[in-house]
Amino acid sequence: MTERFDTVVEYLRQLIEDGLRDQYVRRKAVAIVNRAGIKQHDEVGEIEAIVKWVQNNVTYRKDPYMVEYFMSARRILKDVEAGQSAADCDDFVIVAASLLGSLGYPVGAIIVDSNRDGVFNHVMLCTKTMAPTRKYGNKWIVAELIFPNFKLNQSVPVSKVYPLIANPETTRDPIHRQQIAGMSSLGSVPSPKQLSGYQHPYSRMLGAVRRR
Amino acid sequence: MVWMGGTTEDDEMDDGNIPIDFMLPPESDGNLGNTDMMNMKTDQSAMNIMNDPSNLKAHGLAGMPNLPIPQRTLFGRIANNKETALMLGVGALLGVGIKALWDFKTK
Repeated sequence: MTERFDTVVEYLRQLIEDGLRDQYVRRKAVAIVNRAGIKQHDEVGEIEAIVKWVQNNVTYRKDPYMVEYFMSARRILKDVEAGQSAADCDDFVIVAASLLGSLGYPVGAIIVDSNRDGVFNHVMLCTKTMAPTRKYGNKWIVAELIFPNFKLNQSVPVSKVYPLIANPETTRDPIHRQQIAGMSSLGSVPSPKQLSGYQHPYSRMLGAVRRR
Repeated sequence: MVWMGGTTEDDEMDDGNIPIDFMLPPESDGNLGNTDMMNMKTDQSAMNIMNDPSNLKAHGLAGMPNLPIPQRTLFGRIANNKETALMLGVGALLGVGIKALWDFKTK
């Protein structure tokens, strides 16, 4: 795996983790399942309702050529409400995983090679019910979000998957509060350590001494 | 207790685009989301590979939460309750033993 790939997947995972604990996202998730008339404890119903809502309401638009954008779940939801939705597959996964994660489901992204050539080029949602169900048992459920006609577990043929499961127990800072690469570092890729806000104890001590 | 963050609805937050990588090198994989989807046949390969035991093990996903669901049938209830199953098993063994003893003594 390249360093860039590691960085991309780290952003994706962290944005999902941030989204699933955002109260704005949870309110939206509750509104979606309530409006869909899903009964309590109907786990498959909730998953289907959220996936359907994302498929039907978020608009697919490609990222600029050679630029990779990621948006927070809140931003994507606000864009939908403002009628300005424009998101690509990783954004679809961020918002869907955040909505489902905020309702208590294990969620993540699976990165796949949609051309079956071994090159990861597409992202899908993965989630699972907490209890085994008649329809899906205890298996992970995958969802193709960018095509409204795709049902749960339906995908284009792939040969490789890279699952990326969100850790809801993370104690790191939300990504929007972390120091993200500024103008000076455009073109360089921050390492996953930088993204997670980790600082070596020696660096922290040195920083404290300098501040004095 | 997990950290619940401070991202309440009223919080000011910079929730804009986060550009992560300008000028991707030519040898890069390209953009993640710019999927050409040249093959629009569909199947369940993603789900199958995802749930493959070796894949689950490789990514440490084999031990994810799995809560038993309440079942309406008798066998479902028994299957979901280890104590009940154990008690029924011990009861059955005891019954067979007592019957064997009775047969041994009386026949």
